[in-house]
Amino acid sequence: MKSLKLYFKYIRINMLSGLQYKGWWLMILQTLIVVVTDPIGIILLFYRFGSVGEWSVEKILLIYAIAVTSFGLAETFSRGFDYFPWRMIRSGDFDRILLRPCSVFVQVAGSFFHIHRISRVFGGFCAIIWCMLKLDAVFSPLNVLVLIMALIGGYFAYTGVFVMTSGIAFFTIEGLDWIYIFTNASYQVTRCPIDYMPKILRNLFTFFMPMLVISYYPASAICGWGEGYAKGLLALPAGLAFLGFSLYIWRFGVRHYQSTGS
Amino acid sequence: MQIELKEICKNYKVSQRPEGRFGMLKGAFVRNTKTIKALDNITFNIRQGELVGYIGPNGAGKSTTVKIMSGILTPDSGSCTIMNRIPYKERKSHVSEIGVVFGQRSQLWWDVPVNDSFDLLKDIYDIPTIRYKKRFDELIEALSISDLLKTPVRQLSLGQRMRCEIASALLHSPKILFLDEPTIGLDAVSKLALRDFLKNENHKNGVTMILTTHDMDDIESLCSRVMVIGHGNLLYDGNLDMLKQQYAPLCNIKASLDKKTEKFHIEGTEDIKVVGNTWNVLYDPSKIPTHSIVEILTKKLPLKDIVIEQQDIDEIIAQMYKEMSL
Repeated sequence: MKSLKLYFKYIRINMLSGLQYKGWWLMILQTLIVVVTDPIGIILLFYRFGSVGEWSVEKILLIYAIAVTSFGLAETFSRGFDYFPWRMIRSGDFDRILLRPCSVFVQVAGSFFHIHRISRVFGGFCAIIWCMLKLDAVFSPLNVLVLIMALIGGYFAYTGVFVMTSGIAFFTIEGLDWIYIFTNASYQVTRCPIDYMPKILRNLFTFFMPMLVISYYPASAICGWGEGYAKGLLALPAGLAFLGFSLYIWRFGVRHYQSTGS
Repeated sequence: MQIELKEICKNYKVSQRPEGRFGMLKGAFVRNTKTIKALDNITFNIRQGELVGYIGPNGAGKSTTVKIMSGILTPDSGSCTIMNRIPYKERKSHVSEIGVVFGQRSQLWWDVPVNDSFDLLKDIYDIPTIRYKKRFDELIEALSISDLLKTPVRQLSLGQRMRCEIASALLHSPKILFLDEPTIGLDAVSKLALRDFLKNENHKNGVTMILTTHDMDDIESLCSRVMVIGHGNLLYDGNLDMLKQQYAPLCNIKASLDKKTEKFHIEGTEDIKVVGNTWNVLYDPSKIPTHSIVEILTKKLPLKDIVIEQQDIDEIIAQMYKEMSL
């Protein structure tokens, strides 16, 4: 409980930092534009050629939007881990974190907060609602529950990716661009209809990084595309499991920390 | 003993780029790693309330020792016990009772007013409000930072920032304070004020302080005990006067004369150098008292002025490093 309180204190101080600079609202606008223009490519493509098999633009967009929203949530609330390898290990600022009598995890998670990240969540969420309306999905309590579970699970999964990156960074210090496959690139993958996805990618994003479990299966359950609610509700445990696995790597990294500089 | 270090060793692996024309390319795939002994069998004890200066040339292992004592790094072998705890094993309870100031790094949040940082530290260290308030007022006054509290840290000058840093490290009333080059880059006034404050804090609250620095005046005015480290070995541990006697036993009398005078030997002195109208008489004050040399000089030389110099502490340290081939 104390950790949670501290976490929000950290977020608060970082938010205040952000507001110290003029132009923070420009940053919000900028991210919003990115989020809105991002899926324009597929939308145009579909308008030109109609749908791919039984995949309409709304279907694709719904899966994509769920992924983007959870990514946005993770970015908003755990962004510290994403910056961590580059900013903290290399500069030796991690020392300072170890010098404080509270959870390292909380401190790193709360070490960066950018208010403009919220725009991704906002944009994504609007897209989800729009798609669900277009697809005539029922807003029954169960569906809403599945959706919320999916977003929370997605949040955990993406936080897991950030945490894992940070854990590995203890050994490599830098050069972790390939991890982008699991962060910024991973929700791009959801734009490809699952039936047409190469088997290997499908397995990778189901069983290793549960990308599809937190986006496709819940969407399918909500709209009734053939996957059951059981699979749709797997999002939360899958996200938690991935986060747990990442935390294990992270802990291993912390133990091997070698400080830099003097 | 409050702090006990026993046979601490710590090695670092440093990767080196292979030699030769394609070294850079090769280096991307193959790493030659070299093991560097940062600390090699360091053993010492520190009592509560001691003010210890920890010196050594760059890369001697000072920071590594401090990092082990503060629980950031784990030693490869040896044992480190501080207030009956092992720092790197019981991190949280250990760090709640120590304070660390890095001269080169900030504890404070860069973009927000100092006050906000202090507030957050209060929560981090879980300090009860009444105790916090008392301590806060105490520190604000002693370090005279009440005017700075509303300014964002990035807009403070180095001296101002350092005072705030020290306050932030002491808010939770630590029992041990580690200071890593606290006076680096400060002007004379700030330095003196800072030293006074540290001395006072040590005296009044019995805070144990371990100070690493390159500024010998810090050591001279603050520390009763000096530890010298080089190449990961503890080379000297004792008081400053003994160190001086060991490495710079000689004093120098500088006598300026009205006219040039031929050199003659004075019984008991080590060496006499004549440069123009100035005589430099080197002697060991433990062998021959200063006044007897002065007496001889006044009798036999057309004196204009006379100055008695002790060797500069910086020079002593430099010479010591050289002698130990550091």
